[in-house]
Amino acid sequence: MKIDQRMEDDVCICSLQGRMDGTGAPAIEAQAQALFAAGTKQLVLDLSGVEYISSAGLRCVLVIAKKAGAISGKVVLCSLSPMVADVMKISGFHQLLTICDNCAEAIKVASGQA
Amino acid sequence: MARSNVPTPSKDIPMAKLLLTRHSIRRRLLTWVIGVTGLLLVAIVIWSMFLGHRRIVGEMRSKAAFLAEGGAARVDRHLAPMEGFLRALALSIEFNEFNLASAQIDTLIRSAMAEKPGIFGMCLAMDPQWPLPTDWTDRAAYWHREGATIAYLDLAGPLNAHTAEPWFYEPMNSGQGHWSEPYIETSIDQPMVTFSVPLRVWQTDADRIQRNTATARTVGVLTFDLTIEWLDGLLSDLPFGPDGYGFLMSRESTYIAHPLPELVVHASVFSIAAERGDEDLAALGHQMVSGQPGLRSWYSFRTGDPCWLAYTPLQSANWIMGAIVSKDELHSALRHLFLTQSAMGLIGLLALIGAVSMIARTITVPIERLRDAADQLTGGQLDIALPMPRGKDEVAQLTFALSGMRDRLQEHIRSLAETTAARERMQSELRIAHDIQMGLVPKTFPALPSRPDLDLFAILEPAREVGGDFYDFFQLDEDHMVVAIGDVSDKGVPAALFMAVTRSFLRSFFRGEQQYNPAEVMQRVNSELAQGNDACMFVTLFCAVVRFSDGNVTYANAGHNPPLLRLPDGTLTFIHEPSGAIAGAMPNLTFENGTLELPTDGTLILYTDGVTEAMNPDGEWFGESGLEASVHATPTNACSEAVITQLLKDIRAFAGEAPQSDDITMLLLRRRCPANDATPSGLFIQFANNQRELEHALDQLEERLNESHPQLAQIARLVLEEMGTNIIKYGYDDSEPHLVQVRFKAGPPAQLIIEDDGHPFNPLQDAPTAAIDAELEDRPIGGLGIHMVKTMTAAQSYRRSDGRNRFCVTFQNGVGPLQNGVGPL
Repeated sequence: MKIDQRMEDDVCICSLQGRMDGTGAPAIEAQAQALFAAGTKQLVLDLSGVEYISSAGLRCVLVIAKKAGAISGKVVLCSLSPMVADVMKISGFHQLLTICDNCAEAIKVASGQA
Repeated sequence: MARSNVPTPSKDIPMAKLLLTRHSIRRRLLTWVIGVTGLLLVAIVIWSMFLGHRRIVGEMRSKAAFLAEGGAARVDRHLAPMEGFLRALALSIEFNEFNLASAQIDTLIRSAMAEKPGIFGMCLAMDPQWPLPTDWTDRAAYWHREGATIAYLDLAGPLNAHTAEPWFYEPMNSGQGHWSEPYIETSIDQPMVTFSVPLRVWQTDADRIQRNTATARTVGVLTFDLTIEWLDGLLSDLPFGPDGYGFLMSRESTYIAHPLPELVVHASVFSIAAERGDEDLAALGHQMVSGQPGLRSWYSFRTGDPCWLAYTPLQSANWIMGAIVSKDELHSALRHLFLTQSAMGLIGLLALIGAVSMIARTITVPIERLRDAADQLTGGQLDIALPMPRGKDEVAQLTFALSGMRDRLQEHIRSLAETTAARERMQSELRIAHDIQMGLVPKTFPALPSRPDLDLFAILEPAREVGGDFYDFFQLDEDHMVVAIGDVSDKGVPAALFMAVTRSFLRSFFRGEQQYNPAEVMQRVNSELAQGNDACMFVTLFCAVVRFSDGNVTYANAGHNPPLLRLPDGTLTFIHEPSGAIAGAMPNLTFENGTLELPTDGTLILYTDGVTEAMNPDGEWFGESGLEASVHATPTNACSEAVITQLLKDIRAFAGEAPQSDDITMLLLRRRCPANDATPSGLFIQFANNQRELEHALDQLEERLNESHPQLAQIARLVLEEMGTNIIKYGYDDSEPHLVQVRFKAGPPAQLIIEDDGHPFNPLQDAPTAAIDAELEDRPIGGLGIHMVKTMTAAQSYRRSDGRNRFCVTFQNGVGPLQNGVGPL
């Protein structure tokens, strides 16, 4: 799992590349944890590079979303590949999480401008 | 006596309980001490009361008798001189044969009365038959006091009335002195008694001197009258006690002196008995007048209370002296005795309670401290200070023992921690070794998807301990491949490392110059392994180069089990020759190549000694014959996987309960004609239950399916990841390696079958239901995987058989759900 990270105003954008499965997910979770601990509240997960997600990946997203909720932050997902979008839908996660089509929109939503 | 005043132990227990409920030893000690000593105390008090009662009764009886005797003696002391006085006076009157002038008699009597002021009157009465001296005129001359003077009168009168009086005829008849019954002297209205003595005439002076009454004649009596109210004073001086008293009664039982004045003279025991109809009293009266002293229980006439009655006859007058001692005195004496003893006993008991309580405290307090310390020890605080014992008693010894135990425990825990750490290190090393072993053997089948005429299947079943078995196969070029099987001596990490090295040498040498010459490769591997092999490890090795086009197999054997060749007609041959020495033990060995033809539907069966030396509980080996028989039972056109599965089943059935002692490794190589093959094409992968192996298996699956079924690759991967993760996480409790088998069947319909020998688990029923519609905060973390598997595949089934879970999913025919099953978000 490769994670690229950049800041845009107060929003942190993490571009993920690889598989969000039992192997890749812990790294993402640790990264998000570190960001929250450092004071980041708005987080955009750009999943355009993620072609595969398993329940371990979903669990990781859920944990991140809950932690963001606990510090009154916000997590927005964007640019989902077809497989990831399907899994999100099957698991009902699309109702729980904010999902945007592209990164720009996600940044707006995350910063509260949309 | 009020028995309820006797102290009993039960009275003291509530107090003891209140103080000591929490302290069992103290409570028991006190309960027993108080119980036993209390009972003893009660017994002692009762016994001493009994003895005291007997003693006091004796004393009181003696006192009553003594008082009766003393009273009698006291009365005697007064009466006896009076008697003597009258007898002396009678003697002097007799002396002159009554030759006294009446004036002289008068003078004598008056002077006698002057001498004895207690005498109220005196009488000189003569027998009417006896001739009076010359100048005597009166037969019963009577002098009595009238105020300060003494008056005189004649009691006889013309009819000699005095002869009818007892005071006259009694001494006349008996010749003895006689005390009359008491009577009231009417002139002064006072009780009185009369004492009379006989007056005699003697025949001779000798008779007179000798008081020979046989020849004497009684001619009259001399009497005096005595008032008796002084007797009351005499008796009241005696110590009868508060409720006791003394009394005097006559021979006829008439009261002469009694504290109840109305009884005196007027009543007698018999008259009272008759009046009351009291036969006991009458009987008592008879006893009292019988002249014998006596003592008995009675009751006081004065108070009506029970008392002791002692009686004794007087020596002078034949009266009876009685003494009454109240039994109340006995009771008060006993009460005093009881109170004294009880108080002493109670004080003793209290002192004992105090002492026992103190002793108990000196025992229990250190024990309680010890208990607290032991509690802390139990809680894991091994470095606490134990209470310092005083002295060398049992508690101190216990403390020392506990201290010793604590030290030993500390030591033990320290060594246990060290041992555990060492064991954990060892186990992690073993796991690494196992991972090396399992990671180095290819586990994806078909081995060469591009060669449908090759049916190769292999399995490595690790034993409990990590062994040194391995197998390998790889393609050399379009027409050649290498298969190898080996068994490293020893087990554990060294074996795994040695095996890895062996495998690397094999691969690199076959890919080098001697690629078609197994004997040459074997020689070089042997030389390399033997170099610097200080541990003297070795490996048995069989390797072969297979030519696909004509089935020619060139092989070399370094001390390995002879492979088994099965021809299409079912003939089974062990390939014994040529066989060289084991590899790695010694440098510069030479090996020889052998060749054989493997026809279509012919199978070459490679195995390690884990197969032939599989042991049953009786210690028998499966053996080459077992292998032969087992292979023989399968059809010749059966695929390699089916044969291996059957072989494994047979070996397990043979071993039964016996533990697997060595790795079981088998590799089957079969040339097939795809047209008459019994098994459809598919994919087989197995992985050990750890994350790395799963990851590897997932990649293999996706890679192979991308070639044959690209639309299913990701879904199959997802299914295997979800189910595989579950098996790794929850399937096993032990730390042993377990193999999970995965089969993909091309179908149609396409199926993925996952088998494991973990705990029974039916994902379709036993898995928690995922809360798909729950809000973010309520959403549980978990339970999603199976939901996704169910949603993304067409059908799922689960079966448990032969101790294995078999989970099978069927994919939607041809098209994956990712393309049309779900639709856009």
